[in-house]
Amino acid sequence: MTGVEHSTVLKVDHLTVTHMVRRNGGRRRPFNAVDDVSLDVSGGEIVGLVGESGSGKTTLSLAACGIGKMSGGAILAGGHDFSSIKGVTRRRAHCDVQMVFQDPMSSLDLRQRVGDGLDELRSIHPERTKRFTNEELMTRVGLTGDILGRLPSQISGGQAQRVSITRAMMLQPRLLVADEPTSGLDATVQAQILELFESFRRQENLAILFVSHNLAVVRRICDRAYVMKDGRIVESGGTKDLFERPQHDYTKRLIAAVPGKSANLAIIR
Amino acid sequence: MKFARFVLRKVVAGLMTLFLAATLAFFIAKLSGDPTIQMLGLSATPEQVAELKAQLGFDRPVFVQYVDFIGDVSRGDLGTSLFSGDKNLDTILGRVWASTQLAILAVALGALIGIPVGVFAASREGRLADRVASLLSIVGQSVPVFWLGLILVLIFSLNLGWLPAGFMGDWRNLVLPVVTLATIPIARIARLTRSAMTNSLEDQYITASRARGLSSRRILFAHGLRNASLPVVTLIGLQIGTLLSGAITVETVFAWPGIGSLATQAVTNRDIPLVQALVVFGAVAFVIINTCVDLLYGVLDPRVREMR
Repeated sequence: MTGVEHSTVLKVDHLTVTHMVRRNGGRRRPFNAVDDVSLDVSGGEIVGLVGESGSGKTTLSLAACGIGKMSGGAILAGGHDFSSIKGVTRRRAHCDVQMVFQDPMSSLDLRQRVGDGLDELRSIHPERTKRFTNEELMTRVGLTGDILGRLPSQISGGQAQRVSITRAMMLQPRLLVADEPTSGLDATVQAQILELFESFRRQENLAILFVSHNLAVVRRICDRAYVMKDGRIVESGGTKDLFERPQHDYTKRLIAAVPGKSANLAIIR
Repeated sequence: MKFARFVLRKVVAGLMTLFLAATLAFFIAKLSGDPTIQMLGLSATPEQVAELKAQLGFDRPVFVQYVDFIGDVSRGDLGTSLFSGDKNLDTILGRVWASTQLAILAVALGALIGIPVGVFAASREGRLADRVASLLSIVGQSVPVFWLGLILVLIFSLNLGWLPAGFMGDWRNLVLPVVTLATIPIARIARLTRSAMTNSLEDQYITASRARGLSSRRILFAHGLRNASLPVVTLIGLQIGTLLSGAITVETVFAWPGIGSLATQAVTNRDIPLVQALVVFGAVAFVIINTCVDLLYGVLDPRVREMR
């Protein structure tokens, strides 16, 4: 961890998210997608959240960003309790907590040019977006200014993810929740995107909650990690310890399930 | 250059549509029987029938008549009415304004009410407001227009005496026919907007927009509705086209001197050339409106512009 400020930027306290689901055509019953989860992320820290599909990672991520459902517990993200604020205050508070999504293409409005998307955020959050010009923002994520005039359908998946990261970072957040930000990208682009996260963590003292099922990526980039199963945190700790001395059976199985695990865990180093 | 090619493609497609419509209008009219007997009555002698056929050119081979008809249409000559002897084009143009007023106002009312209702219902998907809006849309589409027109006349003209029961005049004469005619566009536009918006609001960029701190209004209208607008614009175009080529029931109920009532008269009088002219006119109206809708796609969706 290299941050200057180590104060807690995200504190999730006994969070529960309950959905009503119908199983086998029967009556709708409550189902805890997230069940009594507590975690924290400090400034300048990258914390992993790993688990299989359906373990509740995305539900937790959305709640952490103030855009998901909460049934119980409390979240303090970027200094804001989103459950108690509304309207303009809430919209402004979102600047402190940003999210990068798994599928960069679907997280962009396909009818909006890249530059228009950035200008829209400037018009909504003028104070938070005046630090860099659009061209400078592009340079920060390794893109060129000509991307600004293009539609999402005219750029690659890797470029779209950089645009998505730009849109999040131009608001100068304190916390970035990255939900599987490298899945679907090839290994080279994955490595570039991870470097981007690391540089933002260093330069901006950014706290990052890095959600992934790719253990190699988590091991490469995260200082600590939480392992999630069936909506609960089953194990947590420093990444090195967690991968080298897993305690919980589920964590052991996750690591064992990585095909060609030594090669995969090394590929992005 | 791309745009010029696009316009050229649209013009060629439009001309082909008009050619097909004119061909269909000609042959379907031929299949409907001999209009000369209808005109002269059953007591007419074969000589009288033959003389009228020769006079109208119906004694020539069908193919020759077809070539002449297509030639006339391409020169903008839609023939002469068998009943009145007037030029069909002049008769139709004399009625266009009446139908255009009804069509534009009814569809504008449909869009003004239908789009916000659809957006509102989609933003409250599955809740009471959505169910009420969906129910009203179904009712709006199911109510027979002639019945609604008569009920409105009964209430607002005969009982309350607030509005005239029919005929063209000032703005008050427009109210009842426009409201009657707008019920179906309102219901259709509301249903389609709701369905397109529901899909649009499930997209991840909507969640992303919320995470970026955009207001609900901006998310709904600047992003959700814009992305859901193509099918809605298409429907609006189709509705204008349909109503321009004649709102037969409403024009009959309100004695409105538009294309619809002209079509009713033409069919009743078996005025085949006028019926053919009306079909060709309807096709022209559809082609023009469809081209406008296609051009509007480019404004609403830059991807369409790029593809052109």
